[in-house]
Amino acid sequence: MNWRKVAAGIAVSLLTVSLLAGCGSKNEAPKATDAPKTTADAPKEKIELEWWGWWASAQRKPTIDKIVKDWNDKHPDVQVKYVYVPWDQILTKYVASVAAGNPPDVCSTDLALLPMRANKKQAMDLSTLGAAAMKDEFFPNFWNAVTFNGKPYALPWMGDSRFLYYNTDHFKEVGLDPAKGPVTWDDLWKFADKLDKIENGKIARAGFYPLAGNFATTANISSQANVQGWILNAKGTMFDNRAFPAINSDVTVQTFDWVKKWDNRYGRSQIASFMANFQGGAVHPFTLGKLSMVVETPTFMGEALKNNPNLKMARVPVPTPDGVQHPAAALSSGFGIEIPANSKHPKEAFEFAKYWATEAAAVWTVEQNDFPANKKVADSIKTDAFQAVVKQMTNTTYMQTPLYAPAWADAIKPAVDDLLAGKKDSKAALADAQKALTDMVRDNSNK
Amino acid sequence: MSKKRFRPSRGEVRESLISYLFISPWLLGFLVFVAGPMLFTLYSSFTNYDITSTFDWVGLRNYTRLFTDRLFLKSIYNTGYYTVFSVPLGIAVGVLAAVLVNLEIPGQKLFRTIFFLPRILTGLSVLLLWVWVFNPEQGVINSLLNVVGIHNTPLWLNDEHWSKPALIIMSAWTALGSVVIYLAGLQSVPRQLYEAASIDGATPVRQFLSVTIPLLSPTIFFKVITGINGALQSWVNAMVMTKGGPSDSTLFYGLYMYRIAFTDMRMGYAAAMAWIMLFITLIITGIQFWGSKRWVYYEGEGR
Repeated sequence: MNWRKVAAGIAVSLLTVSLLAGCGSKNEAPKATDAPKTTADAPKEKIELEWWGWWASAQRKPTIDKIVKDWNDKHPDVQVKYVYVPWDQILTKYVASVAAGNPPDVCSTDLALLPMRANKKQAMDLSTLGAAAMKDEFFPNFWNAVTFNGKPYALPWMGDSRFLYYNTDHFKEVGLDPAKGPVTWDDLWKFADKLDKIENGKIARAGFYPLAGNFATTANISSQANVQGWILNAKGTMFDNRAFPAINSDVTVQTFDWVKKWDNRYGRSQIASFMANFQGGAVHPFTLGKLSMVVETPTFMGEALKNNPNLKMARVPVPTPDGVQHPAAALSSGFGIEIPANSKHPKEAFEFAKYWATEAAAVWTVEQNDFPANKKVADSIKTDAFQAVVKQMTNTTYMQTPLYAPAWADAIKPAVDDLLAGKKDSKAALADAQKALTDMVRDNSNK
Repeated sequence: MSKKRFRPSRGEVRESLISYLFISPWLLGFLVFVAGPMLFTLYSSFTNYDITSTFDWVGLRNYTRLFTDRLFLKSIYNTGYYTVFSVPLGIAVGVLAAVLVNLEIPGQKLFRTIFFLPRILTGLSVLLLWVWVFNPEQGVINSLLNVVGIHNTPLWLNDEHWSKPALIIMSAWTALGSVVIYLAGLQSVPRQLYEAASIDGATPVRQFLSVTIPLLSPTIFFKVITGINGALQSWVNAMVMTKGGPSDSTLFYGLYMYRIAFTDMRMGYAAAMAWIMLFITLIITGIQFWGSKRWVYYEGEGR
């Protein structure tokens, strides 16, 4: 008996078995829909919906848990399982999972790139599930945000706006009236003259900086992208109504000049070093008392006070060049809930999506200090602070990301960088941005 | 020398079949997870693939578009700049550190451990810490420069002229982790050569240049190849630390490809970029192998 042959044979069989064991185990997790759903008398099996969201912090998670528990208690046959996916990965992972054929049943999303997902058939057309009837429940801006070619592809959930926050202690300290926030762009400059504190050539406290804070649609967070909000605030446009780039207009040039003026006020390297010390959250310059005025989201108030309970702040609508508020003085991001085109339980997913956009939205708004896209929910909350935000909605616009320029911020950022570094003046920087955006649109629409 | 037998014997055939069976798990994995997707991307580089809705043949359009794409050319410049500076710097740092650690001094084992730390400290947190090291006001580097008397310190990651040097400096720190590889090479240098050299009156520096480096050259060659490959494909540092800015000065090849693939959803275009990178890497590696005949000295080789 040739033992070497026997040993070789056993070794090879073990290897092949281990190879086969590696394949084939993953996709066998039984889904509760194994039994056919055609027979109406079939006993109701539990359906588990997988729902992706980006909230896991100690601030947000308890509300999520509460909402999920409320739903699960009321719907024993349709259970929802919340899965956390980090904010900066969730859209990429969602799209990848749709392509791979194993998407979640329902997914919370940022609405900025919804037109792409609708166009590429990644998000499901919700009018087939009866969503069109819900149109009037939502603020028109937010309903537009979820619409593509006249059909809704998501349900709006939260929107927001932007406010100009200011530190009332700083105002009192320098002799400004803490009850009167800035109204015009000039006010910002004049107030900052008093509020700035420069020590030894370094900025100890900055009165205001237009590129600080958040004044862009959330999917494109970066300080340079904040020019988006200011351009719209100045009644400029970035894209014309056919979604083609139209960024090098006089108004936009003036806005860029204004931003550059602020940069020169402090000095490029001083303001760059200053801003490099901060990020968001607990290390936000306003929260740390290093910046007296900033444009931020409605939820910023709650976050800042949580991180720094000694902060005394107030908020006013975002100042405009001439002080008059108009429908684009502030902008909003949009968050919604989508059903993937290849979701396995679209009807149940839609029921949960409706719940999320209405009852759950009410709970979330109150607990998280956020702003619902649903009008009924907004009207039901009677506090003054909240109704002030509702009022602000008339001055808030939503800029839908142009279908062929999803990465528009990538063309704006270098233009702003070049402007601030002094390499180009506003006109040249914007001309380059226009060219970059035009190339982007051409590349993306060339099918 | 001609083969004695033209056909392999039955025993030889069976033996090779058994060897293939042994490596079949790996072979299958390679075909399914590496070769298959590579061929798929080659095909899709000639299409307008975007994963979920289009997959039509467009011929050479992606490739011709790439050569007029200003950002693509910028990313090649950025990546080339980074590679040209970070690879030699990394090797120099590694070799010098290895020579230092090889000295028989008290605490040698402690130094070896410390120098090995960069290899095990990886990931996002290290990159974020480096952002703070380069902070213009409070970072370690500018503070040290201030102490030495230099007050006009650069803005590092916030300045388009200093962002790449900052990343190159960071790569030199990471290169310290390769000390272990050079150490292994150093220890294989025969001691008699050093003794003979010192008998002939060679200074330590001369010994380093004429004995250590030539005998270490196979290791250095290995690090050159892997270093170039790594530097050409390095982009996560830019993505986390600078997001490609300022002014696209750290827009590396891989970062641009990631943006095209996952923000613009133009997979066909990104696939073309991937294959071009493969060719660039193959050509550079080929040149290195050809040039190695001149400077890589394998002990025991008759020359």
